[in-house]
Amino acid sequence: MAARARQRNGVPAIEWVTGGVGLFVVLGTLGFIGYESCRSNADGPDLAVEIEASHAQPEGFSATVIVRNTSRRAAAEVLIEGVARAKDGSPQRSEVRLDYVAGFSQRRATLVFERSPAEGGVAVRIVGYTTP
Amino acid sequence: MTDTLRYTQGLVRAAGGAIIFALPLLMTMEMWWLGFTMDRGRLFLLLLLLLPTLVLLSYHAGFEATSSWRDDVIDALVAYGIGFGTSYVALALLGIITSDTTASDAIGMACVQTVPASVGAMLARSLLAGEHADADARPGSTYAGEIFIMGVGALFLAFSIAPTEEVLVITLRLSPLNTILLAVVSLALMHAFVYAVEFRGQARRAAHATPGGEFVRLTVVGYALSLAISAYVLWTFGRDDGLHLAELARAAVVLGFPAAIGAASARLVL
Repeated sequence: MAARARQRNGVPAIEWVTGGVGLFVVLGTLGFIGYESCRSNADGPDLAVEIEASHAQPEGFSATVIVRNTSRRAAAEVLIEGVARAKDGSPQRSEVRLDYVAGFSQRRATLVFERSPAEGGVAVRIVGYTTP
Repeated sequence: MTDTLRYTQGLVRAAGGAIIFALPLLMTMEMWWLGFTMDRGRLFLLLLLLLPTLVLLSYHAGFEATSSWRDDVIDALVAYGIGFGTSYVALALLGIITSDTTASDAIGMACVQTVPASVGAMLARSLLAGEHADADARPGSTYAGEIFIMGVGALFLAFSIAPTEEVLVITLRLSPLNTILLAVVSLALMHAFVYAVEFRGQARRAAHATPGGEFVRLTVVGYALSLAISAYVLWTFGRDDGLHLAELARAAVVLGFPAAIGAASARLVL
């Protein structure tokens, strides 16, 4: 301990360095949160959905969708609907609900259909959401 | 009392500590799910980091008085084993692990619970035997030791709360201004704990330390550590999935609130 560099009040310099790093982390985190909140002042969530991947399954067909929120405001209970047209032209509906999509964030969900769609593929849309 | 008997008593006490610390999480649904949904790489890293943490914890407040690093390593492994074994048995007893559960899922579920359980096993001596780890007799009362103890407290509380969905729900409900207010309140509460330790006469340099200095050296460092540990625990549980960095930072502040309380109170308890 005696070999350690000490400041006038008897506290080793390394403790002040650690304190400085801690201060940087705390102020950096809070500053970042403050900056990001000022960057966007939208009233509500801004959601977009698109199909990321689709796979044939042993019994049916699945499409993974990705929902992106480009606003700072979060959305909750996000309901996504997918419509696939089968080869005979009949529509198949499927829906999935996400608990929430945080601000500036994205989440994935999977829609499952009974039969593979024809060339037209799957159309997806957001049916609705609430704001937490 | 023979050494064997005394050691056996220590082991039983450690199993008791493991149960007390892990019980709330053993009976939490999200923790069972994490056993099979958690990214295996992150689970492996968590268990890997747990070992040196237990060794250091054994050094500071282990379930038996140790005299060498070799003893600390052995005790850490014992606490790890007791933590895993107790969790597995308790999960089987509660009907969570059944004969239908695959080995991978069963081991995964017990591994996640090993973290709080092994910390409980390690702390059984100081908490259950009524004999506090003698802070003055050990080099544990150094600055690094105090920061480490704060880290363990933060990890334990953050780990107990992070598996639940509520952390993100609270984060989404809070405005950025309220999040910053929560951080300020966390810092203030932590600092109150720092003073409480000094009142008990445990602080090492109370004589020549200034209030501002103590705030930066202990409170701010402890809080920064709590935030870092909160972010790490959220990442470990996959709670960062698809989350923007600013939202993850806000979630870390929300989880940092209990973590900060855990960090500050650990200095009082251990």
